[in-house]
Amino acid sequence: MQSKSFDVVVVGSGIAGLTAAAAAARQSLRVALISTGPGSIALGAGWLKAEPMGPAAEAAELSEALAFFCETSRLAGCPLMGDIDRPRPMPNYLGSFESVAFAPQRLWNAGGDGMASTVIVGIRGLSIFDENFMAERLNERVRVAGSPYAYKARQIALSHDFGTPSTVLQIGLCFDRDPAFRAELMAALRTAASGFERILLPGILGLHSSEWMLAQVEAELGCSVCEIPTLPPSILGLRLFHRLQSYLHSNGVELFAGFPAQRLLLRDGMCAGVEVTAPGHPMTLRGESVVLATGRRSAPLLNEPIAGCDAHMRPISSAGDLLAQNLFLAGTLAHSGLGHPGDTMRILSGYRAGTFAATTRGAYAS
Amino acid sequence: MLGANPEYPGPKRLGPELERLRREGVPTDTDWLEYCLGCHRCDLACPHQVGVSEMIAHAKARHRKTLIRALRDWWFARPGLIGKLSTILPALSNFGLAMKPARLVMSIFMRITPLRSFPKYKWDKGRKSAAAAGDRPRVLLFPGCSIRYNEPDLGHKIVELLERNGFSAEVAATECCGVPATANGQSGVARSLARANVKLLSAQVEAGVRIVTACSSCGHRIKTAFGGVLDEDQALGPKARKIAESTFDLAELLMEQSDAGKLDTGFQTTNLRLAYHAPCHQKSQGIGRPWFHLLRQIPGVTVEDLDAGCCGISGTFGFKQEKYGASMAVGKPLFDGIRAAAPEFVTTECATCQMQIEHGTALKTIHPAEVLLRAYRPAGQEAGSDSVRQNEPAPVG
Amino acid sequence: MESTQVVIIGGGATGAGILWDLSLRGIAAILLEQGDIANGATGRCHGLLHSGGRYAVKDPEAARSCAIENRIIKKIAPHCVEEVGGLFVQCPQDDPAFFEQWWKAAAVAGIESRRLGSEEARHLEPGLAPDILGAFTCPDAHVDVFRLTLANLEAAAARGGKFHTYAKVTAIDTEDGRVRAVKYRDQRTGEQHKIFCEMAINAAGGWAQAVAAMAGVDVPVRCDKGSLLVINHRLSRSVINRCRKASDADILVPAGPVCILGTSSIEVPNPEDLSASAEEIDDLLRQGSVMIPEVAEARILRVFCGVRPLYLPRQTGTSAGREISRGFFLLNHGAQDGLGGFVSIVGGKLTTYRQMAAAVSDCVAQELGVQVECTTDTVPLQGTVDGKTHRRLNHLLPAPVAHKLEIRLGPEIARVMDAIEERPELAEIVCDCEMVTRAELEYVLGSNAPVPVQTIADIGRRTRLGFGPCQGTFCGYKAMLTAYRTHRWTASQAANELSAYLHERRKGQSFVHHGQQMEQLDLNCDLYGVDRPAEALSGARDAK
Repeated sequence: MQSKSFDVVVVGSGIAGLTAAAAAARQSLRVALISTGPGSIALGAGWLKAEPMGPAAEAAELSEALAFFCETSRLAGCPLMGDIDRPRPMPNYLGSFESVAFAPQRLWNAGGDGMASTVIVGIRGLSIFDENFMAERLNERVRVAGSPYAYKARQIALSHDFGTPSTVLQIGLCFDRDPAFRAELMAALRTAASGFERILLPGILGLHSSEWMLAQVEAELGCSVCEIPTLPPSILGLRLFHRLQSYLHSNGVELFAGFPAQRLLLRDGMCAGVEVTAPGHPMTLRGESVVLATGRRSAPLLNEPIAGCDAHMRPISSAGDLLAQNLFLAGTLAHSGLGHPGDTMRILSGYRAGTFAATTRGAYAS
Repeated sequence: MLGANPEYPGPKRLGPELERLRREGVPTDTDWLEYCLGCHRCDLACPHQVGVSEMIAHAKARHRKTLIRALRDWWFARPGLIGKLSTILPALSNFGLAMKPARLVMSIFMRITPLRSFPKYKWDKGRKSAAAAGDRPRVLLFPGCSIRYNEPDLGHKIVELLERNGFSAEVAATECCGVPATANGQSGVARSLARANVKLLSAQVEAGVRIVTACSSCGHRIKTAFGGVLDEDQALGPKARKIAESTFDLAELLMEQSDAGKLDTGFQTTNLRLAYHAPCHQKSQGIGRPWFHLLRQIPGVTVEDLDAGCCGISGTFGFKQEKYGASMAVGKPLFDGIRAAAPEFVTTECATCQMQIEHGTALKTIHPAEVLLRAYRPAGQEAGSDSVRQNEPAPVG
Repeated sequence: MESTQVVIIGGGATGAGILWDLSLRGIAAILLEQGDIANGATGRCHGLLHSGGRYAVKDPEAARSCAIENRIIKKIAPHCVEEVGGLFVQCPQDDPAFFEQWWKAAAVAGIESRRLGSEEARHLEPGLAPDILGAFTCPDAHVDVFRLTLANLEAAAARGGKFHTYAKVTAIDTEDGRVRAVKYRDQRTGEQHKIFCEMAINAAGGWAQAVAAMAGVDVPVRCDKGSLLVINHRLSRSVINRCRKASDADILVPAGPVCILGTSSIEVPNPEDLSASAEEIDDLLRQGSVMIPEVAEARILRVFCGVRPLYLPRQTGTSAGREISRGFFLLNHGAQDGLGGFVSIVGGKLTTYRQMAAAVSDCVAQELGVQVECTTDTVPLQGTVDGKTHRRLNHLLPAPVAHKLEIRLGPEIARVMDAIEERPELAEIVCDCEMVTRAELEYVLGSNAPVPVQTIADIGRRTRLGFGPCQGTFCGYKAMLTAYRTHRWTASQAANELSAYLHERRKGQSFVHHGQQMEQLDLNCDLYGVDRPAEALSGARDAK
């Protein structure tokens, strides 16, 4: 068994890379995932926004890819739910609604534009989340829409001193580690939420909370709980990212986080692997197939400008040739002609690239 | 550290943000610099490969401490010196360092926590070298202070392990790698140690010998050209970089043999339930999880990768009285994870991680090389416990 | 209806300096500025307090003026000046003869300078290119242009000087060959106002021609645009100048925690809607890296453009505009155009703003019959902070925060400290890059602030919030919340302000079409979850 040889090497752990790695790992292959930086999920809101659909022909494949992603997130302990055709408006910390196609289960069930009496709860000292600001803004909108419910705002104070100001990370980590703190927070939230059907609060309910734990919180509070993603890094994005990463790790994906890919080993129309910068000497990871999902930063890895991808997500040079038989693109790179792709498109390309890389590794027909 | 200490400003503030302000002439020194564990996770996390830990190390060197801390850290920066002194009469040193009154005095005057035991020192009896090198690839073991002064037998065992697997190996008489010096803000000491080590290793490296480390902290240090302390040195800088390129972790070399099918896999079936903890400085080397993969090749052995973050001791950090609480808080998730996994032994390649785990869980913790070597021995012939930590009581399980 | 003796049109350094000078002489004046302070050239330059070295060879008189004013400004406004010193470096590509000429000319102009060999220069400035042949030192410095303009306005306000920002002059009423009144529109409310006055000063810089036209007078001004790059950390300890005949990208100025590289010189039709082309930026980087190689790889935070208003004197032969010095022109339209009570001040440099203001104020004093001499060269612009207050401040806040706050607020920090002691949550740091506390924000937003704030960008000019690497992405939002919480804005207004602010900040960053800042921008798009941060606020993507 070779330690540095894999069936599929994925470069980039944003949403596209994670999807590609998950797709390859599903086929029980040996997968390596290389990344630098946190990636789009970790820094995101933990939900997938609705976006303009691509050509109708892709609709079936998109459904499959999204179903796969949601299933993966469920297995990872952070289930996403949603409907690409019927996105829901989710309130954000800026007090407006974002059109969201998929969100963590709690949010999806609790979100929407307010056919429920809702209280927005802020925490004293957590200055980055202003419940009054959110309430005022959201109320303007729902008034226009003719909703009978106004958003109310409340603030709770906690005895823990996190300094000035406190951050969601501090509170989230304390929630994870300190049962006494958790109890105090829950008691305060219960009081603030009493009499309401739904509570909106900043994402603070633990960095490592599982879906089960959040369900417990909801049961304890006796109302729908909707955590609002805060200014990045938001706990919701981090939670999803950590869960997905742990899931991949426990499914045998070798993670090389924090080491930049510096070179693709291209020869005779094949990509033999990726050379990665590490202290001392570079590390070479060999792969039967290689998936690039590095966002806009891939340009240096690809020696020449690409004119697009073939039907199998493989990059084509401007002269019309395949760069390599076993090299695949996912994410922003794969959509270079289409402007700025959203999350669902990136999942689609990640899923396709990962699947092609897994099923047709080794020899190919063009 | 943030989990243990919510007010910790974090590497971005302590590194690049303070540096920007410092260049402007704004006063930026802060005691929080003492809480950087030197784990290098910040370097890995930064998407632009900014040398954050190096910036913090420079800030530490400029940091002004209270007198007691400064005096204490003077010693902590020099484990090589302490090692040399303590191995003159090791029995006496071990006795003295363990005495309660001595620890009380150290607690009051040096703020060294009495809650931890110091590692025992041992005189190196030496070892008869094995068969002639022949055309085997030659490697040189950089022992590091722990092997050199505390566990010389482990060093010999590692040589045996390497020789068994196709290398010709010997232990180098090198100095401290300098990590404690940098961690304690003593850049002058770090530089002179680096110079000494470069001079000792350079000729061998030029001759094609590879350097191997068994302690991941030493390994990371040498791979980063001794933390870059010789970058400005016209003569020794390039040599340090050459040495960096030729340095490998012990597990890397063994894995190399394994990949080539040349690993001695004559293992006895060894029914053992292990938990593996990857030290921070191992993770920051970017070599994957070679020990994890190697140990799993032993029939009968199950290994769980704890993957639970930093153990919290960070070398000398956990011995400091005012830092003891933080170090135990940082390691708590790891201790909890170990208890949940309920292994027979914990295995990790960093000596101070071993100390911390034994301190926090009372479970015996051994170097993975030991596990491999024990597995080679025919059943019934138990490996002696001579190189297992002697300062902690045997675990009750 | 307001009335006063003098209306000053233009709130840059010159206008503010005139207000200060007049207030010291007891002359009632009101300053009108169409935007926020330092809206024009003052707010869009290097912030270089010239030692005069740049003019030593070509224009010795201007050099001498600069040398003198340089010393004066350091004395009257030390809290606005970073005395970083400067170097004129000799690059191998440049004319060695010029280097020698410079040395002689500097002596003539009275500029203190030492001659350095290549090694000595690189020892002083490790970032210099290895092939630098030598350098001259000089007393260049960085001046915070907003702080300086504010200082003049605040000091004037303490002595009765008045000003209105966001007040755009719409008409100048004249009668019987004299100026009688100035009309302006409040840009925020749209209301029209009128001020009766005896004299009007046209200190409008790039808009001087448009303003003069309102009075029926012709002041031909040529707009010469220069682009500048803000680099995310200091690449040098001192100002680095290229010792050659003045050309592009000759100057790198350390400015707080960042540094500024510039500049170019391109004629434009008017001082608005400025932009920098990709070629311009690439050229600046290329030339700048000749002196400091790290420039080529540096992260550019933003690009901004300013306009040098260059005056073209008319060739009338007889009483052409009275040229005080080669650098600037004082035009007394009473004498030259038959319009009494109207004076234009054009040309000049930031470094000599005080001298220009003095010239105008002398002219005004003479016309109004006020027998008070100019004292702006000796009266300090801000009081000092005593030891006790200093210690109290350092006890209350961490060292870097206290340091910056003391510089920015001077004796006013007592108010801020009282506020923090009463409400400790005000010690929160809102802008990490520039160490701006909530207390400071509430102060500049509050009624005690001498120069009122209307937008988040205005807050930035007073506190440097948003001037660092995040360019307001995080701190702009937090500043908006602070304003909202002090009931300065409703939630709707606050959201609009943030949207406008981010839009403006984005403009300056989007000129940078490559490199790390572009990634930052793209990241910001992803982070806010919409294509434009402004969209998240307006809810442009509402469902159904």
